[in-house]
Amino acid sequence: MSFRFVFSDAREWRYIIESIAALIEEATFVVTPEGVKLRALDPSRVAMVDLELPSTAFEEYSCEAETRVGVNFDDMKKILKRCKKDDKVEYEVAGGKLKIKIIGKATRSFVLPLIDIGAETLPTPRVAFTARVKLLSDAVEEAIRDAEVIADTVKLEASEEMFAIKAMSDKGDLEVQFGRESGSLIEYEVTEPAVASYSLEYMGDIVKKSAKIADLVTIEFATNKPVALTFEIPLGGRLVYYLAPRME
Amino acid sequence: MSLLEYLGGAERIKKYEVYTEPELEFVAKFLNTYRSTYVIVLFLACEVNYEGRARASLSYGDRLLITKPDGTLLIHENRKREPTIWNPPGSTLYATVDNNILVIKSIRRNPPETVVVESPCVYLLLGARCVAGEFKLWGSEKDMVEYVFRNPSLIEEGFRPLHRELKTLVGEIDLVGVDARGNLVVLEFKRSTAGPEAAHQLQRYVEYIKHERGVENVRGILVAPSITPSAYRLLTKYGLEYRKLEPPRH
Repeated sequence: MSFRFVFSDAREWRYIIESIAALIEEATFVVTPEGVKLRALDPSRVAMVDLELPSTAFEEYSCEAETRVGVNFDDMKKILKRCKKDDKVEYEVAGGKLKIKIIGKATRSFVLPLIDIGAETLPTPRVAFTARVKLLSDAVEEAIRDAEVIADTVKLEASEEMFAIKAMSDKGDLEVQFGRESGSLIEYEVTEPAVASYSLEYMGDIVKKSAKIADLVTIEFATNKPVALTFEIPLGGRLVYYLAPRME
Repeated sequence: MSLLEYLGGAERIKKYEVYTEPELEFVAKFLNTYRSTYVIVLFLACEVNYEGRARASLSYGDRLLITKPDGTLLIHENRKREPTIWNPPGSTLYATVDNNILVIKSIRRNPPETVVVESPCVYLLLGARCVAGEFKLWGSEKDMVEYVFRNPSLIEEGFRPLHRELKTLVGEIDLVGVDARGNLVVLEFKRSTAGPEAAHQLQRYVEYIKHERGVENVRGILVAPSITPSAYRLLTKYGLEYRKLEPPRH
């Protein structure tokens, strides 16, 4: 057996997979004795997913040696849709196959074929962020949903005093401000004011799915540079999305 | 804009890539992978359909398709300056192959506009790493509006500019402001001699603002280096005004 782990909250796991599946079709999980990692670029190279789950984030975890597991996320998503509240999920790789068990009142087993996706080791994007904002992910989701009504592009703006999410088009202008006194802004650090625009299609896909995973999101960006959105998973895990900027 | 630029040596993007008579599957994959990295040019046999605020179609023929990282799509034929069919920045491109036909869709969400290109054959595929340089333009109408915005007394004492490039149902108004007495003023700028169409255009904007704001006293001023006699006659007839202004030189 190459590895086996049990994640105690199957629904949370399902949200993580669904979040990644919104952008990525196929990717490779790298499972080591330390934990699980996954890094992938979406087909158009505009967004990158970076998932890190230490072994402590799992209820049970055992891994002998580094194992790479290539999977199709659409297929995995369909299997996990079967999860109910209070279920646990178990992953096991043995004999070249991935066995997924949903453990609840009954136990359902599925087997997924492993795919060989070329060995692509992606580095961390090199960006010097000048603004770092930690917010309630619900508040960000609401702002993004509002922006989607108006435009295709969303602008993030961080000044000394305030963080704003803006959108504009023929239909109108939207500005959602998060000031230091506002309840949704948890942490705020701006070394240099930053302004950048991003595709709402990608931003929407990322935020709407990931807001279910974590209550807080950390947004880091700089003028005309990519944005990093970090969602914290309970017990030391993180899901980070990088999104390339749109030049005006 | 793609993330490749920020990933260092992980995937080196070439200055350009050219493929002659590529397979349709290859073209689809190339488009989906590099649509945000390269300006891509296809010379292909195709049929094009557009649906959105209006409808359009192009019959089967050989033409150029250009797509840019910001989502702009242009279909060019062998005549005229403007693309025959296009989608603006912010649109998203998707390519698939269906029954040996390459289907390229460019989708804009707000307002919803879709361009669909269907092609059985691509002759040439070019992926080019173009830049966006610094663009300087002299003597344009925008320069004139900017000049007036900074020096409102060029129009008259007490003039207060308020709104630039005001988008309305009848077009984009160059500048709207208020005069010393509090009347709304609509300004239309031309960088060369203004003719009767400019007077008509100004009149349309003035009527629109009167109707939209529910006020009778709206002034209209045509701002240009000179006007034709027929433009002058129309301005007088409509009760509009003229202010002489040359486009600023740098």
